[in-house]
Amino acid sequence: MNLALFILAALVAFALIAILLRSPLVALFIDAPDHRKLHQHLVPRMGGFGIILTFWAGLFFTPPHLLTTILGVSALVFMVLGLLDDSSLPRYIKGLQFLHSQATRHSGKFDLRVRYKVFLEVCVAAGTVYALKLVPAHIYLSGVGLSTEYWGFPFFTLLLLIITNAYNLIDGVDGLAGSLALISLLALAVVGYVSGIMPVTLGSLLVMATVLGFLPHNISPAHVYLGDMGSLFLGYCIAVFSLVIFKERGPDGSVMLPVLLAGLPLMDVVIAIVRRFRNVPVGSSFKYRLGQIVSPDTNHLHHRLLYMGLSPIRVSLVLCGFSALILTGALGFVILDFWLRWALFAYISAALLVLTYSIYYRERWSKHLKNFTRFLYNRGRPRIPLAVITPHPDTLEALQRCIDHPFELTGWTREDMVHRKEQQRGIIIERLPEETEAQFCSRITILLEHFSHPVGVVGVSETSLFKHCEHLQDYQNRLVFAKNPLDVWTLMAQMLDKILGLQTYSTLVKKKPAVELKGKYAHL
Amino acid sequence: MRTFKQLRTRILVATQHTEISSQLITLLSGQRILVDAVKDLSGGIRSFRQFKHPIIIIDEELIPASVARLLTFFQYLQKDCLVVVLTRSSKNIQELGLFVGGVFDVIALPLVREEVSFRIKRMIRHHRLMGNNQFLGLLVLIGILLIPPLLLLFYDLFKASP
Repeated sequence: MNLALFILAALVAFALIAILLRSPLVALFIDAPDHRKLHQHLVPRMGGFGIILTFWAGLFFTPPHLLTTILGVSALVFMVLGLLDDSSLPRYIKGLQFLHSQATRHSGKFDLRVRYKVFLEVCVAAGTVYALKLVPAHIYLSGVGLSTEYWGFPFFTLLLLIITNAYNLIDGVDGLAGSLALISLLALAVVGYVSGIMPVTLGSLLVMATVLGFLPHNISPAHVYLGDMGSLFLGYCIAVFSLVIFKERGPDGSVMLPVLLAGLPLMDVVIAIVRRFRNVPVGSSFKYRLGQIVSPDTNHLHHRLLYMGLSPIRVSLVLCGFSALILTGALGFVILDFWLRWALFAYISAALLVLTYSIYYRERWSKHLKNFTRFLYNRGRPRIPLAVITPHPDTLEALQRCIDHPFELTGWTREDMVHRKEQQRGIIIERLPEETEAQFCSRITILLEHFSHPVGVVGVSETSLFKHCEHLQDYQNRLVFAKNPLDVWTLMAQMLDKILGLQTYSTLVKKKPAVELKGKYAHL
Repeated sequence: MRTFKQLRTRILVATQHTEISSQLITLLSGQRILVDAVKDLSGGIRSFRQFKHPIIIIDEELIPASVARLLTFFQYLQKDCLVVVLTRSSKNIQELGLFVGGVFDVIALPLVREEVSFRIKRMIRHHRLMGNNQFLGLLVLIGILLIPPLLLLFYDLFKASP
């Protein structure tokens, strides 16, 4: 395939989809928004229709080969599947109603029953594996051959099915499935070229050209969606090309190669399975957990990124970065030596783990980081005991979370003020919502008379307090004020200064520090 | 026509009072914001589980005793959600309690059109800004992680070429 043909195929796909979008056929493929969908307007699902038509046209300009013929025939099956699933055509044809479940018929969606869909997909996958003889005699793991005589056929059929459906599952954001398919096809074309498997390179370039023609219509805000027809066809093409490369490379090909070439969608499927298996109520049965694996949710990688506030284009960009990382591993398996390729694989696995963890468990990630920082900060540092009397338990919790102070905080009640005898080096007291300023003053007076250390006052200003209780001016050097509970952190800094100013080091800390104090507290 | 197909920000409004919710719907829909209005907290949680709204507006009547627990629940489902409380009283200390609990903003009732509009816009901008931050952070992380494999591949390619 030369460059002119590639550009022509892309232009034809672009023009064909534009024409289809202006045709009355649109009415048949409309996808309405509902509680599970992210789009907010009517969008036709006929991108796959345009892609398959362009692919068939392109087949006339490529050298005939069994691979492209099989792809062409399978495309026909996917088109039929798409017409039954994506379009509302069957509702107008008598005798086809049995294809839809009662529930979808009542909701007016007319989705194809899962059992028929899976049946058609299994037929296509098994037929392809058989016709292209995709099962190698041996799979090589670290140079040791493993015979595939008994399990090879079902295993490769299943792998083909999983990769095909993975692209269908990731098709949840404008332009995502198309962009990911584009990157995977580019990698397949390169790997096919490096390995000398020209039908794969030509096929990949042809499908790539059709996707390039489709993407401008699909970039956010999308005017057209791939639909099941398009996403299944793209996934199928990528799966077949990967398996052909794996088989043709023989002992030099690793079983990880097709997995890596499938790219991010396969990884997303694995994550979804693990997530759904784990995210069930405690004590759920194994059968229930298995049932949850196939139940749809809105927690895929692209959903998480959307909820983080990324626009659909940015989600596609980030996930393309993910995919590029995975595909470098695939290229490594073709180019590099034995040890280097496994080292690269280990590196990419670790990198993907970090990236996925940082998206799914961002808060946990930041918590670990914070705890680690706190550990480093507090290591060997003496803690100054400080009591907090507050009506809001959340305030104390928030203060305890704060790592920037050297205090050991204890929550006290109103009664503790009088009865508790523990050694505290300071007390913070917050005004109760229903308390008058006079009552609050009396509480502060009790504190100041009972204890000889600084008192932090929250909820009342200095002038207001001294106006009501003039005698408190005698204790001015021991009082610190914060009118707003949100300023407690500033108050604690002032408290530290007061404590350091009033007391000596020997009375300040419970025990001698394990390490030498540095920085801010070095003078202690 | 193209701009009308842009994805609109989705906001959850939870209040028992129809007049407040209809006022908010009228105001926010005019600014191309999609509003899901619910009358109770359980309905709100059900809706939030599905759409993970970036901004939640809750009437103070629907807030349980522990604000922090409710916010923890919302933030467990979506870390970046911003919670706004519609308050009737203007007691400073109560509002401060809400802030300590993690509420992002407080809007006083009765609603003042300009003020609500300004605050919601500010929150949407804040959410977008946080999104930008996340996006750039992820791009940098991916970029850094991509450098070693690319270096390795290019080194090997150049080494192999004569």
